[in-house]
Amino acid sequence: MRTCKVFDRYRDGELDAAERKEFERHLASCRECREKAALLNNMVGALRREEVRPLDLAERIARRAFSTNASWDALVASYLRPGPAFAFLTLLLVLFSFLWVLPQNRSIDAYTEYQQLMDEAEAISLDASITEINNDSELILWLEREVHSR
Amino acid sequence: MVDSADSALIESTLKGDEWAFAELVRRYQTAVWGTVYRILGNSSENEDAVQEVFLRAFSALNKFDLNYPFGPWILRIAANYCIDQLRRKKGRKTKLFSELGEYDQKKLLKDLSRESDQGSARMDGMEGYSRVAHALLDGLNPKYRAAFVLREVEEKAYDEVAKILGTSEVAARVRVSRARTELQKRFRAYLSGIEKKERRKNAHL
Repeated sequence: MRTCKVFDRYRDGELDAAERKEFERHLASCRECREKAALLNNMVGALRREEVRPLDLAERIARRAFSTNASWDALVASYLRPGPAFAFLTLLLVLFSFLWVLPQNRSIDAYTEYQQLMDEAEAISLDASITEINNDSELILWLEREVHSR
Repeated sequence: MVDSADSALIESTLKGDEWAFAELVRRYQTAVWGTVYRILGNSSENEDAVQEVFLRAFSALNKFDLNYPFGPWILRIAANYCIDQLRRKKGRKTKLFSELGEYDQKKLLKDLSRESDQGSARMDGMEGYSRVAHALLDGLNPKYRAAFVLREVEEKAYDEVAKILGTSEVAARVRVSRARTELQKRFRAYLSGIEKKERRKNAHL
């Protein structure tokens, strides 16, 4: 059984003459090693005999390598791979959730409404009289007047 | 050392000479085809694979060290690409039994594990042998498969296999050895599967 361990070195032709002789004696008595050797010989023989018919792709490959399209393709494809695509989606999700949450946090207060109304007034009529507002009570009065006048 | 002409071609390519890159591809495409074909098996995607390998080499060419030979470098890109592809289509495996429908399967497998000296009889089984060989290879871990193909079919030395696979020589030896053992194990499983099927059929008759 110990001799079976030399199988790889035998197969790779790394045994010296004496070791090889010993292993060959072992082969005659070990069905396992004999089967393995024959199987590999026949398999590898068949694979080596297969004809690989290469196409000449040299010009096509060179053209693609130098056209900007190739790198653009690769860039898009690289972002479509699961890793980057997932990262990108996560980023989008985070961004959107920020956009969703932020406006809700910003409650519309009286000052903002005043600003909006002033902007509108400016847009509609150029000579809109601008009321001076110094405190909250003046602002409320102004707002009430505005609402009634509309 | 890079073949002096290789390094000149690489330098010209980096300066934007399309012809130089085409020439570089022409020199190494047969080697790349061989590796791709033997690791991926005969598939319609081989042409795309060869193309992709050279395009990857092109975009990494500025990182290539001209003090090293170009051959192992391009084959390393090819082997990595193929291993990657095999991992991706893990689900797609050749079914040995359907592959061998038209053969006397039991005889074929028995012959395959027997050393015979009759050349003519062996030529007859070659086509069947290569189908079995591909089916058995398909079942291997892609890393083992690549190491096995480079060592056994392409007859490369272990240090070269290690260089191409980007690992140590010891690791390359271990992978080849495991591939050999695994192939025999798979082969036996197929054979006993056929024998079982046969026994069932005979019991029914």
